[in-house]
Amino acid sequence: MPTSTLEKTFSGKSKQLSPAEKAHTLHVTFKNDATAFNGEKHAVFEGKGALNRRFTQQWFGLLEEAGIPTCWASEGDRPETAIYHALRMIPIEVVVRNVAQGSLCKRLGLTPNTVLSQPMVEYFLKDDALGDPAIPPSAIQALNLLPASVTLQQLEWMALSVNRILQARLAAARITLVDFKLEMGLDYQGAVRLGDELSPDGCRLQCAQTGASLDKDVFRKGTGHLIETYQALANRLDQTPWSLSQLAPTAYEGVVVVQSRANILNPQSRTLTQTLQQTIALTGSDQTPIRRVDAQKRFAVTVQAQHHWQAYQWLQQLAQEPLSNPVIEDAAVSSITQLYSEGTPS
Amino acid sequence: MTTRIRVGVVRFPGSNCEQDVLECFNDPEWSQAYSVQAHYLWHQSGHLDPSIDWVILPGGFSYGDTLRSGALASLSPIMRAIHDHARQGKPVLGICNGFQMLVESGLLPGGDQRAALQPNRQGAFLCENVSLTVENTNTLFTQQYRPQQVITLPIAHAEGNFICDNNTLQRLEEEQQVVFRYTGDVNGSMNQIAGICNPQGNVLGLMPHPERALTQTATHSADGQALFQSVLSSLYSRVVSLV
Repeated sequence: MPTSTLEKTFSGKSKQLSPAEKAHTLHVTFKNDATAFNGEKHAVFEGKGALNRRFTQQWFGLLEEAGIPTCWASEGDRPETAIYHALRMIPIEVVVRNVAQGSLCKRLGLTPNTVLSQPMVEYFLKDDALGDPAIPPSAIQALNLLPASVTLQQLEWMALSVNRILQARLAAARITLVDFKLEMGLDYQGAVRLGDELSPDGCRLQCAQTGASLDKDVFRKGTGHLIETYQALANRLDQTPWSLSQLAPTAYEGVVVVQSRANILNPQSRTLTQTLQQTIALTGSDQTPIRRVDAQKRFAVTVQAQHHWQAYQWLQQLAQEPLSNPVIEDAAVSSITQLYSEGTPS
Repeated sequence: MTTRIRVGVVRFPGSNCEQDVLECFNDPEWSQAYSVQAHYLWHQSGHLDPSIDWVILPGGFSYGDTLRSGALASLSPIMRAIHDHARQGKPVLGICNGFQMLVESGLLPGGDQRAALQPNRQGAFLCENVSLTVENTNTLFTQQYRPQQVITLPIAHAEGNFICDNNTLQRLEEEQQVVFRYTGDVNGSMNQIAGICNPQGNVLGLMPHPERALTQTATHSADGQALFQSVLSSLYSRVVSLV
């Protein structure tokens, strides 16, 4: 059972963690430190911790309301503290991009501010010594970086859902969500949750009209004052309240695959296997290369949902009941695709 | 004649044995002796009249066996009312496709246990008379049989292969929920189970067709009679004792 093995205080670049009173929770302090370029640049800003706690609280709160599980448990005693559900973190940063900026442009020769035709999801290995290098999905599989109970698909659906919600929320304040980074982990019951934080430290936010940065880039590039920028962002969001009901559902096609459980004698599959083995010549010889033919069922289910994760929950429910009989069948959601592309969400 | 017993025979799109079941209760001797009247109930009705004493789910191919036999029928509006009816201890009988519906809905085996009726081991539709042992004669449905009586009933199904996990199987045997057992291996069913009841004994499902074994002329067996008479006489004596 995955649990946090934190026994004493752990201090990272932006937050300090220590075990809290209640089992499986952590006391989190958002620090006033700001770092960039792998620690090369560093400064301390009075009030930064409280601002980032507030952003995290509001945005994780919004995501929780939308049905996306996060590490957020409650506020702490002070404006810069919080209580988190303890997570066993997955050592991968999941980055979603809507607009090409930063390293992506250099890597792929793109003009900065190119709007992508659809959001892209990228993975980076969390490793300071290596500089958090990009890591492709097949390497994540080959290196067994994910716990057995989690798939990369689930992380992608979670990330795209965060993107859809956050993009809509920010658009209401005429802010473009350029890109952002997420971290995920497993709670003590083995369920995947968003971890770390969600703040302008880990997002690129741009004023839709002026193109001005409303995030940590002002510190990275030295183009503005961090606290003023973060406070202006907070004010701007406060002045443009937004609720989840304003996010119009859109169509998702999910696929549920149902197959016989491995140890169940399935007369149909047995008949199919034997017949094909005996009657279809695939090679020149009498020996058939066919080992097994299993007739499976594939259901394409189209739903109107607010985001991938919501579609995923519904499809999981349908997969268990009634699309499969768990006594004799295993069922899994094999894909979820948003059917219609859209411009700026309303 | 005052009707003392009302039987509801549920029809689903694709049911084809409901008429045979209804006809049973038109037997002049039975309607005389038990004052019984049977009605069709349409699956879309979310409400079951409280005057219905006994609900029967007949055989057939409800919903064309789409998804799994009995799976979609188990989601019909009337099934919620049937769950309530069963919870009140009133009799529910599922024959063939009706048994499949009871299994898909969880009313059988009952108690949060799940089972399934898979395709027959042979991969074929079986249409024949089979030999069964009446394993439990303490139920509402089998009081008029002799313990361990061997009877003959016709079967006509392609998905009658009973399966459940080993814990459930053990429970069924220990709690005497196995009511009818094939005397040989007919379709691959675990422990040759042909029919089971729920823990309370008021819900019975079986793959064979008792309604097709009322007289010796059609199927050379009248062994289905005792099942209907067991329920009717039990219901009749309850009603009479209340008058």
